[in-house]
Amino acid sequence: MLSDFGLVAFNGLAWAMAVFIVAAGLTLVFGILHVLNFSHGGFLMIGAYVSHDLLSLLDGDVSTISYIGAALAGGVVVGVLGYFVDRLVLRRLKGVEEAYSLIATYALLLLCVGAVKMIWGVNFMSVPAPEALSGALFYQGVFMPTYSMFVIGCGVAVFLLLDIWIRRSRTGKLVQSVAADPWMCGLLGVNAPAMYTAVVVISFALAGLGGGLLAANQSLSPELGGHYIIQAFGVIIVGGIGNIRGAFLASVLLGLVVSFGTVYVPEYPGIFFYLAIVAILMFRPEGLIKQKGLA
Amino acid sequence: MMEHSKRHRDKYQGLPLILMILVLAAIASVPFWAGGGFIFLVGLLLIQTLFALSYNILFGLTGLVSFGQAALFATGAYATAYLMRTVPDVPFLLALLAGGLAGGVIAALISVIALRRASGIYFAILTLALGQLVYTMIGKSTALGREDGMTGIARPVLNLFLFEVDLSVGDRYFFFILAACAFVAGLLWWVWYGRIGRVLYAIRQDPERVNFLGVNVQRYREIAFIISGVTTAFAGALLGPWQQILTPEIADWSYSALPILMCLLGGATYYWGPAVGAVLFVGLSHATRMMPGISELLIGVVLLLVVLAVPGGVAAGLARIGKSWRRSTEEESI
Amino acid sequence: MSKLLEVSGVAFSYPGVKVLKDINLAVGAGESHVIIGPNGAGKTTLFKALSGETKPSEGSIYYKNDDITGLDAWQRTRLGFGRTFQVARIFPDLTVLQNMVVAVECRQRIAKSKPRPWWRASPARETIKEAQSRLEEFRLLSKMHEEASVLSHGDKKRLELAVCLALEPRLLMLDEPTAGMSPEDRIGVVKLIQELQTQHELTLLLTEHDMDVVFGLATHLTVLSQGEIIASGKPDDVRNDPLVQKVYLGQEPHYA
Repeated sequence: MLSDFGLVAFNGLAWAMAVFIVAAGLTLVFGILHVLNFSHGGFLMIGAYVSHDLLSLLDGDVSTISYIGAALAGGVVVGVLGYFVDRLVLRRLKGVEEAYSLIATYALLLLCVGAVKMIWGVNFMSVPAPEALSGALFYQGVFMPTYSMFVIGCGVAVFLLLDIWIRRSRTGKLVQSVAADPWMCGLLGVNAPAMYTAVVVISFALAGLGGGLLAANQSLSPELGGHYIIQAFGVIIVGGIGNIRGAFLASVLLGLVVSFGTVYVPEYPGIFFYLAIVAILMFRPEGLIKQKGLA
Repeated sequence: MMEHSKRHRDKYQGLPLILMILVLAAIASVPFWAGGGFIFLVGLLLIQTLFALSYNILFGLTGLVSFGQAALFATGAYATAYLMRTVPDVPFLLALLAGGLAGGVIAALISVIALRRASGIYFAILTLALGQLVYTMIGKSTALGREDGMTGIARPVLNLFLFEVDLSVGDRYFFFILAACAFVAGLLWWVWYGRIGRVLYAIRQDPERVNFLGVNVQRYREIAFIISGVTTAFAGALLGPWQQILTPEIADWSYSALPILMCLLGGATYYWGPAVGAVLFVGLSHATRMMPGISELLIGVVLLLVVLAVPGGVAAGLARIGKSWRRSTEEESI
Repeated sequence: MSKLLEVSGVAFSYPGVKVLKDINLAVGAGESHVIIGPNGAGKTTLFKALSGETKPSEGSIYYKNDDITGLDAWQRTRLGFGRTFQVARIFPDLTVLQNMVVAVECRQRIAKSKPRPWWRASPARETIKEAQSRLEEFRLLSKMHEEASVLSHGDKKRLELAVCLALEPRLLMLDEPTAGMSPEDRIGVVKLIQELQTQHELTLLLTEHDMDVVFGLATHLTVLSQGEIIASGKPDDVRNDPLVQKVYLGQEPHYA
């Protein structure tokens, strides 16, 4: 019984942190630009493929350091892409209706998928996990792969870093202000457009990094982007769009729900995820965290 | 204001009748000069067009962006195919209607849940989630063949009371699709240009004002959703016997995006815009099917252009040409 | 005089803030009842509670002795409410005539009258005729094929009034009808409102800032300050009320 609970909790957390890594960048961009970036998953996917290519340059086993290094490289590449995407597309979505900007970023996702298909082909690829992370712990009857613990660690680290940055640091508070009232900030001498670009680049870099970190132990395919983005959508909608703590909370909540479903109702995987989203949104349409703003 | 919502009432309520007859005749002529592959493609195009026209009742007319319409399409497809398999003597027309009805029921359920929060993003995501729910149920259901889907769907005999038509012979099913799609498209045309359409379009522009005209805006949005759901499901129902196989992917969210693309490509503010978009889209996909990734790149670029630079789609461009050409013959019109 | 609208103990709160406290108000049929008060007094909130856009946290609203507190805006409209907005709300992508056709068809929908023939998509001949005659009453007929979005500010307000009155309301709620207008336009709007009131036997409930307009139009005045009614009654009585003078009139003379 306890091991069942432990299983649900552990797997739930692993799922939650993986999705949170995706959702964090997404909610950051929405909080400041009010654009829901459908292509976030696509760029995450590109980060994963880039780190795959870098890792395949190394012969033999992959060490943890090179794994993280490749992920960071993926983050840099995607961050640079993010700069151009911001200049060319995202900036022009300022005045556009919500739903139409969603369609525009969906078009960007299509571009990502198309690019991946062209450059890497449609076949499945895989990234092996580094030696140190390939094992598992067996504790109290719960099977805990080291890699999952690594993911959980990454997720918590990302959350702490973002949370501290947004709330405590000077630039973070600046970002909060620009998100809340860009016009006023402009009057006070803040370069709002530069801030927007900076946040977008950070968000994309986070996506690329996340892609690299999450690449192991799953098959890379052009479908990956779409798969992750749907889950991230669910999480940020439930958590309250534009709110990082909300996204974290929602990830954990939905992670537990999904994990529960996988263990007890395996014939219909994923169904609890959608049911939970629908149920939560029906009773709390604004999401779990009511207050507006990034923090 | 965004040009996306501009709409022009022209003298011909869409297109002159002569043009329509010519187009129908041209489509009907396809089996006489084209090969099997092309005939199949055109049949598919007709079904996709009906899907897109149905979607536009929600999108261009009422201003609702739903990301879950594929679920309704698949509901119609699977419901009809399942009915024909389990009740072998069921009249085909009845099976089709049942498929449409099933779509209507699911649409009613979705609309009641999702329309509580009709604001753009929430509604879009809720419909996405609900659509995926349906996709999971269809994809995991043993009765519906799970991932392998339903195979060997036959083209049935059509009982028209006075005589019977065996649709499995030759290209007869193609003509059936043409007739059925034209008929339902005609019904949707009546919705678009009639009283219901006028209210829905007003709701799109200013729902608060419509509230203060004594209209239950929520109820009318639900009605739009149900109408769209029924005709979408009907389009799906036509697909089974045409493809003779159904797979769950037609319920997936990426399939939901297709009608959105077509409406935007062709122009969502004109009744026949989605049809133009469907032709362009199917044409583009087919032309690039041998090159993986090209079709996504092309469609992505075109879609971006439409949203950012040419908001009215192809139809808007054509209309602008047509407007200046018709300016000399303009008389009083609504 | 029988009371058309009665407001009893209405209060409205956002979390932590009480915007309206214990509002008691009565509007008689045929009145021109104006609500005034400094910014932030709660005029808009009260207005929205009366029109049905929001539900009060406490209290009840009665219309012709029926409790309408729980009714939505569209339901109140069907009972005889009409509402114009500070920034005129019309349908920007439709022509003036199309705007009116929509309004007329809404009236028909409420009256459950189906124009013949029901199967034609285009609006019925009678509908168009009625729309045109209503436009003529508001001197908008000459602009009937213009898109509503290109109309002047004043014309938009007139169109909105025309659209509202197509539903033949009993109680017309006007939210700052002269907002943003030049002095000449203002006089014109006041004249129009007075004409409409007599011709259509309307009861008016409005909010306003311009004191000339207020005293030119009002048969009854209610003053709101910080969520409470500090005075209500005939204009002259209210004008001379010392509390009102202290809070409102003394500090803000004519609002140009």
